[in-house]
Amino acid sequence: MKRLNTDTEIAPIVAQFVPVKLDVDSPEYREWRSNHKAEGSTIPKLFIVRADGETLYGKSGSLSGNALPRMLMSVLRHSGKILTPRDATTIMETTARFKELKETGDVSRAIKALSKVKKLGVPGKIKSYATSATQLNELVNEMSKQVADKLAELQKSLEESSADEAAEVRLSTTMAFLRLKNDYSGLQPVKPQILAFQKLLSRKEHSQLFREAKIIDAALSAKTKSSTKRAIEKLTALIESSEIAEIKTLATKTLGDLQADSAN
Amino acid sequence: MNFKTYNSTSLIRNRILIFAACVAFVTAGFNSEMAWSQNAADSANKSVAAANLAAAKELSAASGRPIFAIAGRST
Repeated sequence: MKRLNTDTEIAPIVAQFVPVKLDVDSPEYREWRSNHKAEGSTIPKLFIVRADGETLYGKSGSLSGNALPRMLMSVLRHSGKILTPRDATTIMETTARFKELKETGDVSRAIKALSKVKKLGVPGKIKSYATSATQLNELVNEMSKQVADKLAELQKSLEESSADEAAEVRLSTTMAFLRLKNDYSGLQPVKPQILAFQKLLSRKEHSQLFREAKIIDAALSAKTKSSTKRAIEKLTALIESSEIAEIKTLATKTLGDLQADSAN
Repeated sequence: MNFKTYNSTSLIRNRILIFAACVAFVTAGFNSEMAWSQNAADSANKSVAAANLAAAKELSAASGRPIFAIAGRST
């Protein structure tokens, strides 16, 4: 411990750690030993424990000369990113905003809120073991898993209903995918799965339905007067041109809803 | 003429004073910046030892820095 305070050469390395002295006769040390193993039976014992509680080093005997900085540098490679107080605050604020928007059902804005931490890494894969980072990673990964599961479910449904008579199922699957894509396309960890599903829908057997479903989906998200007007024109043309009965039916219903909304 | 001479001398003197004040101001600012940088560098190189294990765990969880625990017998 004395060397940590006096050796200026190793000070920059030691600054990456939280040094603490433990009394081997104390109850807290007994508890510590039940979680962290160390080789050897003599004292002193040196432990390096990562912020998430993982033991990275545990051995009896002090390290002299270059052995100490070498060991410290070696464990630092597995210790993850160290956060400044400002980084930690940014992550905590982002997590709070993400949770709040998610709870209100505004998923796409919740995902947009994650952009505040992008300088620290991809949300869900922030390489730090600080509690704030691991908590945010867990939340994002939980959401990503739900999206991935839903995509797998949609893919199964699409594959099982590729016959012509199942156009209704294919349309509902495609519409569900488009809604999911609108909400979650900004979620970095599931981007590859979303693109893969889109590729699947672009295959010859699905491409017409997919193209026409996109027109209906765009109409459903029309908010302004001009976009509603454009959507009405496109839906009218779609009803005229589509060869898929299910598309015609859904487009007609959507058109009716839009016209009723724009009249109000 | 005298008045004019006095005036231009005064002007030069004032300019020298203003220049000196500017130099002093910039130097003071530079020194304080240097002192600040030195403090920042010093604190970045200093390990913040925790008073006890609970404090160490808290610091580690907040920053992501690993705990460096040295177990021995208190003397």
